[in-house]
Amino acid sequence: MSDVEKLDVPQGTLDLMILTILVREPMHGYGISQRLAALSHDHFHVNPGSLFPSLYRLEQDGRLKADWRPTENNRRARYYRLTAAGRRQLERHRKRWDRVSFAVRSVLEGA
Amino acid sequence: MTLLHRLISMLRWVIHRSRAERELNDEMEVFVDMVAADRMRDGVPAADARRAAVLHLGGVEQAKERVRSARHGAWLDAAARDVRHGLRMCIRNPTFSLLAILTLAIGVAGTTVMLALIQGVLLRPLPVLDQDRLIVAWKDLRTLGDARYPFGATEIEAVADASRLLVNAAGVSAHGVGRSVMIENSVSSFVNDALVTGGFFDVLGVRPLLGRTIARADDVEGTEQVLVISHGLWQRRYGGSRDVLGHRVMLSERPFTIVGVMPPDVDYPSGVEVWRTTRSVPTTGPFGDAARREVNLIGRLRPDVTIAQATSELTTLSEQLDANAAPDTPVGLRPVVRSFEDVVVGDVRTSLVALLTAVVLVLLIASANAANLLLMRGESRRGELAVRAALGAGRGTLVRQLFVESLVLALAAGAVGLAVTWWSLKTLLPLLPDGLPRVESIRIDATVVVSTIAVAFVTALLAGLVPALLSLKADLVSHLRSGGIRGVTGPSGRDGRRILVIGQVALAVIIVAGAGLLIRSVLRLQSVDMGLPVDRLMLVNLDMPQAKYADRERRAQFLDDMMSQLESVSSIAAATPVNVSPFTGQGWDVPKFTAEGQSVEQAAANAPLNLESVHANYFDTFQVPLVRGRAFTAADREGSQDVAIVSGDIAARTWPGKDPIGKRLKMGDLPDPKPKWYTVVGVAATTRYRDLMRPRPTLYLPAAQFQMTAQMLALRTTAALDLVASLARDRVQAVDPDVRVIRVAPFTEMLEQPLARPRFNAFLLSVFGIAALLLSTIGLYAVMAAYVRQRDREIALRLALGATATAVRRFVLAEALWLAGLGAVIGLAGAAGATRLLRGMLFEVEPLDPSSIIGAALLLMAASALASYVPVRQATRADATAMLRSD
Repeated sequence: MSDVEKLDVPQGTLDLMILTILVREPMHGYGISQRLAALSHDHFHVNPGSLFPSLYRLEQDGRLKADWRPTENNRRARYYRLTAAGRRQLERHRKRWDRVSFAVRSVLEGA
Repeated sequence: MTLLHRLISMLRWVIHRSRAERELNDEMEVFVDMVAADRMRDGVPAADARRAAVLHLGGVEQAKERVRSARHGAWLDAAARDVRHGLRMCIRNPTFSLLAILTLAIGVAGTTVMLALIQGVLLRPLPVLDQDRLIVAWKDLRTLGDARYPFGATEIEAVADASRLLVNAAGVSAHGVGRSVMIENSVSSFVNDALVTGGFFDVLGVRPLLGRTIARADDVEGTEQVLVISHGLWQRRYGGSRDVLGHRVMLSERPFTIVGVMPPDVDYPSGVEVWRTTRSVPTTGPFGDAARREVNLIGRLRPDVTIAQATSELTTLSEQLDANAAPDTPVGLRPVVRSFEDVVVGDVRTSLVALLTAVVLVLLIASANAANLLLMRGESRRGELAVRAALGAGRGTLVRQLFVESLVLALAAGAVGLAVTWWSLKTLLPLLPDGLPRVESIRIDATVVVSTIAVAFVTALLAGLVPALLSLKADLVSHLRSGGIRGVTGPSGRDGRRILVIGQVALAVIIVAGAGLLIRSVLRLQSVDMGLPVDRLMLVNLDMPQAKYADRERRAQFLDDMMSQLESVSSIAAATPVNVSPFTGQGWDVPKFTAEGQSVEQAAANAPLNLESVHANYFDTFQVPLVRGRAFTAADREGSQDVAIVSGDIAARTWPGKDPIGKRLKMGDLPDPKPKWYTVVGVAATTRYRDLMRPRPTLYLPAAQFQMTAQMLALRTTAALDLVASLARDRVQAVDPDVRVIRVAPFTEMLEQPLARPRFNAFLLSVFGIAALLLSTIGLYAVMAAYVRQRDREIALRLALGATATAVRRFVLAEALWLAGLGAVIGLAGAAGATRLLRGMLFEVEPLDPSSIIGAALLLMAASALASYVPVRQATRADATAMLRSD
């Protein structure tokens, strides 16, 4: 871990990031938080106290499915994977995020 | 995501909770392990790595809690958890729970019983159309007494025609129900009958359950007379059979046909069993056309007409009618208009409201008691609460859980209370005094159940929330740090409990004082000097065939024969005819009289008189002493000088300081060209024959000179009453087999009726008083027990330092008596204000009667001393050295 100050995940984007990470392959909770840190070049710091509630809610809403599988270290962990509904949700979220970030960038650059 | 889907997943979560909980737990463990494993790879020692991992998660339990509360249906889950937790806490502590539930149940049951009574008697609308528009009117005699002068059927008809504010009007007997003999298939019995004019039921706007009501066309003399019967009589006598219509019965010796049955709850005039027309009473009897004259007006106002407007219109109409009134009718009397509801419910409202007030005080005491118990438990649970707060339970969660716990208790208490209510109503209703209006409509209905739940809920709020907040007020973490698991009570809790106990004692003093006042009233009433040797008197009710005894001479002869026949029985000392039953308040009135020499103004100030038309042996039979002058004799007959005997109070008021013998008086207060003067020949002691509550100034006239309608005789006996009863029956048969003896009853039995309501009120308030006393004593006991427990170390120290057991007991007792005493003093002040509510229910006892109020305070003090006895003993029994060593 670096000493650079970590950013909190922007409000409302945690679900989008979780879904994105899980597109590639099923992953357990710790793996998701690690992957998130790595993909954001260690800028994002996700509090597990926020991560797990999000995971459980996405699961409860049918976006994710979870099952217990052995890890590479031969332990058992709860792996989350995307459902069809999760993929659709990701598409929608992504499109909206694209528009939001385009709009924000336009405003900032136009100013 | 559809709503349905969400609902299903919510349910799935709730249903598969235990599996989900296990999974959540495992997942958190795995997470911590993985984080720790990473740290260890970086060279951190195992123990440190694990602690860091838990810290990273933000605490295992806390993280789990966050996941749980992020789920849909989390609130449902939380509520279920709270209720389960509440139940668990209640079960874990059965003594506490039982005590709290019982305490609350007493309060809830008392309140619901009173609410059921009030709902039935006062609040449930009367079974008439638009009761707010119904009025009852009579005329005021403008005298000191409460004498009401009736309108009369003829005037009511005239008023109904002329009025622009009344939709319609009818007449109803001014004296309420009468008692008449009803014969059906040669079985005779009494029924309560009410005389009404034809349009009566149309004015009320009630529809019959069966058949029809009494139409105007029925209110004609000579035709076949019709009867409408009450629901109660229909059930009792005819088993609710539809065949009742068309039944022919004899009532007061005239044939009637039953044409209709009223729905339940139609109880006007109060106690009525049959309604018949005023014209169904023969005018040839001794009362002439009194049935037509002595009716009050019942009318329906047009919408938005006020009682004041109606009064002024009736006054105007009445003045117009006075102008062409018959010469012997009184004129210039002012109409009095009351709402129908007022007339029906009457004075019961005061006593019900007073009783409800008392029971609400009991409920408050019960709540205080429950609050006290919860507070104490809150203190002993402070350790538990602190631990749970440290483990991540939010303050809101804790308060919510404490509240749900008391709600569970209160609901249990509500259920127990409802059962007790059901049982007490079943027990109480038969005990209710006769003449309490609308008893039929008292029952447990939805409103009562809802109010029980509401009462239970409010109780939970009072009893649960205050202690919950108080016990959280102190800083829980510092409590943990101080190592105090065995509760060291914060000052807030102790003061709160002291205040609760003081309040309980104060409230209990008020209720007990009220009960004391009512009990003293009843005792006074029971022992009041009636001026009659009540326990040796009996009343024989006769049914004399009207046709046979319409003739006055014949009637007088029969009564004379009866008297001599009865007096020939050795155990009957004397017998005399009387016109009305004793202690009913019923009788004949002389609303106005003038003493010779009085001006019209002076006469107007005279009190109305009770009139008794009596035989010569009346005073001897009742052993009423004649203070002056003589009794009537056989020489006082028609044609000789008109004489009178007056009660002592009239004599003293009318001719103060003078000898009343030889003075003359006449009825009425207006100048009269041909006055009929009665010469006073005797002065009798006052009696309460007519009215138990107060002796009425009475004018006695000789039956031979006035009139006698007696259908009953009073006997004074020297033997057992039941023996005399059968002898009396035989003698009546011997004189005339056509005369039936309806009832032979001792006077003491007739005292029951006027005593019933005061006794009932005293009984109910005593029950509340006992409940209040018990509850507040328990409350004080609990507080003292806790007080001793909390100070056991101090007490042990004192003992170890050489204080005697007596000294320690004295100082503990002083604390108890200080609390009780303060409560009693506050209660005294409260009682002084609250007992005023009872004023109308008291008999010869002042609302501030010191022996009742101070007695109540002393009783509470004594009970408190008793309640603290056990804790005081415990204070010194504990082994002092063991106690000191224990920490």
